[in-house]
Amino acid sequence: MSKLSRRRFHLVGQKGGALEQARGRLVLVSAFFVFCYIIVVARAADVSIIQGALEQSGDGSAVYSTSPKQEEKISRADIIDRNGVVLARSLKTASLFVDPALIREPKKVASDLTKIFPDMSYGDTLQKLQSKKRFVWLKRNITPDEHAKILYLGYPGLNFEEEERRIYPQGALAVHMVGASGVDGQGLSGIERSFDELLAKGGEPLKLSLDVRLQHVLRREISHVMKDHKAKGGAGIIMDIENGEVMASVSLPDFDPHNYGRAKDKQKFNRVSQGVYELGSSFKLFSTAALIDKEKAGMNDKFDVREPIKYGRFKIRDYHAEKRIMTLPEVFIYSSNIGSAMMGQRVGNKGLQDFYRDIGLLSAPEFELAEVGKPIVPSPWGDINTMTAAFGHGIAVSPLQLTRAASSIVNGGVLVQPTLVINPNSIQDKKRKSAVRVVEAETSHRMRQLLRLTVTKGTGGKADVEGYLVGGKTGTAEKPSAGGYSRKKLISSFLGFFPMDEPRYAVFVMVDEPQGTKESYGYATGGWVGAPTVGKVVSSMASILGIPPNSDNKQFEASLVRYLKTKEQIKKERAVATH
Amino acid sequence: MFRISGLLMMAFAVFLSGLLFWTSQSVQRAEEELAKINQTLTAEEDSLRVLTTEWSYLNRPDRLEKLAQETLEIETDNPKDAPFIIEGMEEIPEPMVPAIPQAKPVRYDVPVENEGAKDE
Repeated sequence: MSKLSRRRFHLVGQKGGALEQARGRLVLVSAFFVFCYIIVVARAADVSIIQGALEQSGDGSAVYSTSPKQEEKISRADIIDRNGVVLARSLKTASLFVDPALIREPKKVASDLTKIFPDMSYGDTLQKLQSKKRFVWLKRNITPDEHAKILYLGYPGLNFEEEERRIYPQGALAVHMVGASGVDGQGLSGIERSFDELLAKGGEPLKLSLDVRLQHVLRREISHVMKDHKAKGGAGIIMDIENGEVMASVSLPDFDPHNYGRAKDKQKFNRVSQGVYELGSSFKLFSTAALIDKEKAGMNDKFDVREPIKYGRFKIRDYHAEKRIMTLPEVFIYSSNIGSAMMGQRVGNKGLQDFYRDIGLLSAPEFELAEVGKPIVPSPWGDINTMTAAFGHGIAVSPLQLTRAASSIVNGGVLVQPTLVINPNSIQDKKRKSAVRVVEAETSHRMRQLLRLTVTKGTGGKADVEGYLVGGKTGTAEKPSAGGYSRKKLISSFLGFFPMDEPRYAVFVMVDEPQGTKESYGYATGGWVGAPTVGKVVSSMASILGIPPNSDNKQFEASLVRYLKTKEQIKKERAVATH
Repeated sequence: MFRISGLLMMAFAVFLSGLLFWTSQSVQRAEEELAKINQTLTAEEDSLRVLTTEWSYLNRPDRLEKLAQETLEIETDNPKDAPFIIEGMEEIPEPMVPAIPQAKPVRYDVPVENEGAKDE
């Protein structure tokens, strides 16, 4: 009998219908309960038998974490050097806090804690443990080892909060460039400050153009020379003159970025980009380049430097007066102030000002740091300013500006933009330069020869490194003090380039207030202080960067030697003059 | 007719519920495994971050320089003072395997042989 026919059979009369309905409902309700019961039984079987069996077959470790994406906080992005060495990174550390209400034996807890942290005082800790508050910090950023020890003690009430701490594995090495950050991770100086928002977003590390190895060499040599000459401070920069990448930059004294709060102002001061100084004779590089480029001066042009130049109450004299008529290369390599002032006069007020503006000496450079100093430029600019600016007095610029301007002349005559952050495109396109030409290629070549000549025959002899054709210009300036210039307080510097036949790197070293020593015969000039330091940096750099020595091109500057008078010629000239 | 179809339906329902149960179980297991892997991954990444930072710290140029002076007798990084210059890759020696002295097993239960020899 089918279901259908039975239904039809019972569907007779009203009563039968109601009964049938009640029965249907009853079946429905009981089916519901049976269903619920089955679920409960199935679940019970699942939990007790199946899960238990799976748990036993597995490794038994309980997993509490849900998807990790929810709990993970974004870490501040890393800062790395050009080779990927970590300069700054945020690490998770635990910080210890206490809920004093849960501490039952404060004395015991305090004594155990002071065993783990010897720098915590017992009394102070005890006081914190008996505080009425429910949350008291005991110690921020503890090490994993200390963390484990406290967990092992097992006191209730001692709790941890995960915090991020900025770690600088290189310490003070590149502190003025990388910068420092505060307890909450905000950037306070350097790249940390100028790229604060970008770094806070996390993600890919920020790659700087610095090379920690070169940074170390530069810092080591500058601190040596500062120690030897009892100097107040020092600064240095290594720059790739093709693309303006700053490969090392040192400002001393410096500080530990982990203790920014305790650093003194003079330690925080960035002498490379923030400090502006009258750098002296290095500027002869610019006035000479301007003269050759704009006035088409030849190497045989003569400058009568026998008498100091008098202008109003000013008198321009030479440091080592040669008292004779000099050729252009002689004025440059013996660093004659009188000769350079004459060069400035020949270029003219407007000519020299325009040239200095073109190579970026008259305005603050664009650089990735907030700590960039504005140059001090004479205003109004008169004849005397042209004369003094030609040998680097009466105009103060930062070492960064000086290196950039000189690099633009030496690299073939195209303006470079100093940069601290690696441009990912520059890897494919190494010779990427700006299109702004500042001097002709011939002028650039002449300047390379003159710079090399300064090292082989002139004031920069101590910078020479065999096989690497170092060229450069010394600079010694008296520091301005109340009512004029101080004879005792010098800024001695050397700006070097190598290898001179195809220059690639600029190395600048500046020492603030060096004292003469026995070894330097009492001298503290650029030639005695800056030049040997640059020489040492270059020789270390060459082995670090794997630049092979080159002995073929020794006669790079030979074509200029004939413009230099020999000692016999000078003697003869003087004899003729006196008769 | 009814019985067979009803039984089949029932069997099918049981089979489906079994399948559903099995699926939910395997999903649960897979999720647990994923969570575990993610957890280890995060932990590994964290320790990797700490370790590479430490690696950078230990490879500080000033420290390497000091170690080179102390252990390799390389006084400066001046190429002129280099004790040797490697011209090509083939000249680089194979890494030395540090000689670790073989530790003798220590046994406490038997008397040491030498002492036994003395007694004789």
